[in-house]
Amino acid sequence: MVVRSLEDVRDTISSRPVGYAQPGEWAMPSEALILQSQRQSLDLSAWNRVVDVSPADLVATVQTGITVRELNRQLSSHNLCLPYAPYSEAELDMDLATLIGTNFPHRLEAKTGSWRDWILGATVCTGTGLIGRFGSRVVKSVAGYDGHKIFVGARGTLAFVAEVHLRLRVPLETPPPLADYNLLHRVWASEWASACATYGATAVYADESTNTIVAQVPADFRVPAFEGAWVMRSGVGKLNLSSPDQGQIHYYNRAQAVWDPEHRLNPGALGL
Amino acid sequence: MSSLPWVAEVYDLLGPSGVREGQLTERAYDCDAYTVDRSAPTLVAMPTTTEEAAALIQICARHGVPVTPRGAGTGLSGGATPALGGVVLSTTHMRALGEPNQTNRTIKAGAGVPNVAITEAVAQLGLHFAPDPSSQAVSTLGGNIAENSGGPHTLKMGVTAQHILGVTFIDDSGEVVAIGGGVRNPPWPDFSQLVIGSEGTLGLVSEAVCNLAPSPLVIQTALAAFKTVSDATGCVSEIIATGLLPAAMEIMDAQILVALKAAFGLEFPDGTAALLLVECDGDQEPVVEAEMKAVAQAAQNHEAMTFETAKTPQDRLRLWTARKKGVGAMGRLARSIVTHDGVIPRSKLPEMLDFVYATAQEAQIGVANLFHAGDGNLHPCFFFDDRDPAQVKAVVEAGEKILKKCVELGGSLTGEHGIGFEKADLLGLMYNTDDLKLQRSVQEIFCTTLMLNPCKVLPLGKGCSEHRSRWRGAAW
Repeated sequence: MVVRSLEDVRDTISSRPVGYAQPGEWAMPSEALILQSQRQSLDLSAWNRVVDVSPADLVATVQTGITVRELNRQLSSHNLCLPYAPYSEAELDMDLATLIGTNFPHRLEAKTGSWRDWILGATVCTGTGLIGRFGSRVVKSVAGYDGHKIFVGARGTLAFVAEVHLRLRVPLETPPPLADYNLLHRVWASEWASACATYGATAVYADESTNTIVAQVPADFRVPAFEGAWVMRSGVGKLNLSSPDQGQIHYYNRAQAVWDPEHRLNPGALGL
Repeated sequence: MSSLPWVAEVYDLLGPSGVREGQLTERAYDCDAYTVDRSAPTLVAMPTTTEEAAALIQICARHGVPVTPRGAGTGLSGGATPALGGVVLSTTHMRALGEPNQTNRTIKAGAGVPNVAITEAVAQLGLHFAPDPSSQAVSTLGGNIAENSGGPHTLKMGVTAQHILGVTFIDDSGEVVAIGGGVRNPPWPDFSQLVIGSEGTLGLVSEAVCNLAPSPLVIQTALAAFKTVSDATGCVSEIIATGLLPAAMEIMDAQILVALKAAFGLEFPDGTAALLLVECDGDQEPVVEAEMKAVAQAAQNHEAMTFETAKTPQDRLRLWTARKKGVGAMGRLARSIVTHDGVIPRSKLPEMLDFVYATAQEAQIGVANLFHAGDGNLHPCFFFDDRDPAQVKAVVEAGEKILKKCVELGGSLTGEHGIGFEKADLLGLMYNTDDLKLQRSVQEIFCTTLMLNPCKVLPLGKGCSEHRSRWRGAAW
């Protein structure tokens, strides 16, 4: 279903589960992908408008079907940008729904922040069909609960994030994308030397600013365990399950019971 | 000791040294730094550990007793006012401070640890805890987490949420859950981020893993005097438009300067309508110097009368005096002050300030402004005599008028003080009915009893409104 309004989304998910905004090979082999292959998906290709830009306030409101490449093309005429510097060219052509859903990391994170810092507010449709807004359009607000932050990294589950208010920057120099990679492994600084040694020549890039190894590894690669670390992999199915701690799982399950009890949005996409 | 059955259980748990009650206690804990609304607790309980705090909440949950968490009581929106009475859970004794991990730049701290104590504990390692609310000398980590506190340097460094990696959380049934605490910025939903800023309504954070930021090697500070407030705000807009991100940009208006002169004898150039303090920092001298040069140019473009840069650390402290002591100095102007907190898009600052001055004039109350200009975060300070019910009423009504204008201009009801009790009924200005349903659904995720810090954040229910009518009765 081509999304043209939030009401479309609400009506669709009222009758059946949908899959959408999956980051290709980085996705879980979830029910969501099966739904997409059966064309039970939300198509965001027409949901890609820059709704509003306030150059003086460095803020914009955008629909989440837009890609970073297109967003930054449109923002450049206002001398603005989303300061996202991907590890590879492919991420530039992912839509925001996908990048937000995965909290996809990037090369300037230590300097310019990431999705949890940039999203000031969001309009969402929960799995129960409730359409509403969290947050605001100003760079600083503590009015009410910051529900919008929970959808970052939720892989499109819990609620469909339709529109986001984004904090922007004046364009800045960004490092060029790297060669292909299929693994991101972020560790504590105390494990950094050990992680670098372990990955050795498979590391495409060692991002010391965030202690992230960017590597191209074989599918049967056994990922080394580092305490408190997280991993993102592509092309490995269920092995790409980087599990949160028990506290996060506890509240994720409760959030799902409240916002999407019938698992209508990207079922199985988080692997929980 | 009160004869209520649950009170004996609290004494059994904490012993006499961990409980306070009586008239003096009721008076001392019936409000925080927002003094307009007051409500006395039955007792104040002071657990020392997560386990004691959890057991206390379990007792209260069993008996249906409301619990209001409280740090240092410096909150400015009535967040620590025990709106329905019951227990004030003071975190004052929860001051465990772990060993800093210099390599990973983290430290674990108890909810009652004062903000500044964290920085003091790690300063020699070249690190600091970045959130710096003006109350940081006394305000606690738990309070900062509850309010998602900001401060002057959050323009560059971000607010509290960006510096908390995980929390030990006690829900309203008394269950302890550890949330997060692993490597930064994980690719899954981080529920600790939802707890931060929830004003103690979703649960009590008893401990947190704090992110420590490297302290900048180079700091340059400047203070510029302007003939009009709009010159000062225009200068701020130009600095932002050039792509610079100073560490802090703070404005103080003429009335603040009157107070500073009365309190500390500070002198400012004749005709000063606004002072702008700008701080740039970084690790490389030439870069910071270039930034400050651009700031000076922007000040010149907006006809700054003076532009003084700090030459020594002592100079820097002196330039910060006007900002740091501004609110305290207000005590020289009147018996009482109420500091409001609203946010507008930065581009609307001139329009908003005109509205603030006109509103105060119409209400015949005094107002001074000092604010985080880079964030568009205003703090109009009304000064008045709280012995006069008519003035109290005028202050509350003027405050609400200003907040409505903030929302009308596309802003927020609060940038860092929180909704608390003060603004709970105003949340509907920012959010429609469905938005508020979403807000309430967050409580459903975390809470079963709604007895943790009741009557805060969300619009007041009947019980809370009736309670407020009783204690506001003296004023109107």
